[in-house]
Amino acid sequence: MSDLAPRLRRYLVTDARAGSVERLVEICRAALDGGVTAIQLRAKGWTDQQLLDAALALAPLCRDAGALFLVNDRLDIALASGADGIHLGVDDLPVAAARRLLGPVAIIGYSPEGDDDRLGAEAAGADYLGVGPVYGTGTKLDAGDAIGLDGLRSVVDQTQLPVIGIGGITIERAAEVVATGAVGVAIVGAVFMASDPASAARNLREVLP
Amino acid sequence: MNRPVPRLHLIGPLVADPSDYPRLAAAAVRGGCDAIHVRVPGGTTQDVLELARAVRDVSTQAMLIVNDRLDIALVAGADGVQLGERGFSVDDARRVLPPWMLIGRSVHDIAGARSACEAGADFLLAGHIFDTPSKHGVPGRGLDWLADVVSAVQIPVIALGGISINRIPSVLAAGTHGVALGRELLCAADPEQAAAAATHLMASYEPTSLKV
Repeated sequence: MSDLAPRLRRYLVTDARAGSVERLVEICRAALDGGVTAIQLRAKGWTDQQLLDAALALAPLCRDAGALFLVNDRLDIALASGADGIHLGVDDLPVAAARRLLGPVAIIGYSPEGDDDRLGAEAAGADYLGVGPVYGTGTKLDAGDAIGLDGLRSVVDQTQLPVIGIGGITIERAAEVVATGAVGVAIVGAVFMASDPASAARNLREVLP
Repeated sequence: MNRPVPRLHLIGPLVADPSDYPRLAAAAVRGGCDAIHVRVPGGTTQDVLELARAVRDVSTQAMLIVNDRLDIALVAGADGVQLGERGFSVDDARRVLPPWMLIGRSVHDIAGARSACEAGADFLLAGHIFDTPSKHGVPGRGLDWLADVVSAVQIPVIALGGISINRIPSVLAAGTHGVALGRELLCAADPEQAAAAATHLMASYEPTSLKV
């Protein structure tokens, strides 16, 4: 965990609204230039071929930048692209099954929806938690009610795993999110929908060096 | 790693209630189906995995083939995957899957069939052959087309789409290795009996893949 925490500090989640594989990869490239430390490929509604093309492009970009590359939900896309790991939620593959297939070294993130769920994922070998939505979000409509900074802090206090906050986090709010004890922030729209993703990522790095 | 390619495939759940699919699949297997496909476009990973596992549990005599989702196939202990044209390529799938798993590729034209064969697919699912409500508005490609696909490749071809039981002999006469049935079994009054009738018709045709 000591090695992992700094790599989760500025964590970019991609967004299907990029519209094309090329544009998604271009935004990620800019964000890596701007200093994001991890990228999670998530693009709901895209075809498998689009996801795979994006993953095959992002894996070497992240590797060259020293950033983590993770795939949301799709273990097969992660395996085929040589990703560092996967990020799972309650509707996805069980953490234990993912661990069996990926082996001990791969990074497995988990988005818990409650304490039991979180404890199960921890026992099954999750490496970090994505917790939220911290704020209301325009990206993930099914994400549920915002848990706020207090909700985030209470998870941080209860788990041994590194936690990143997710959901509605802007550059301006990043500092208060990590003040809860979270090791980093997951950013979606604030970088992905920015007119200049590289400078948005640089701004984030200034706030969270 | 040559595993025999199944000859009578059930494709579903399609129109069936997914929770009813394991029961229907079990009936089809008792009737002689030797491959059960799980194809749930847009389903969550958890839903598809549960269905695949439920099918696995009731149809151990048949191969379980999961559509597109290699990860679910691996976790569910499937025997193979069926790749659509907008998913994993055969090459990419082969890198991810253990060598004993079968890779089927769905094809809709001769060029696609040739390239899937060259890429190392174990079998092709070619269709749709006859008009079917699943592909409303798109006419079936017909038996001549099917025969062209068969002669263009060196791997077993499974015909799909609108194949009623009584058309099975004509489909096999085109040189196919087997057939894939959906509604024809799922909506049959007695799926086991329908599968048994199909199996009986197929038994009189030698699998043409022996030419390999």
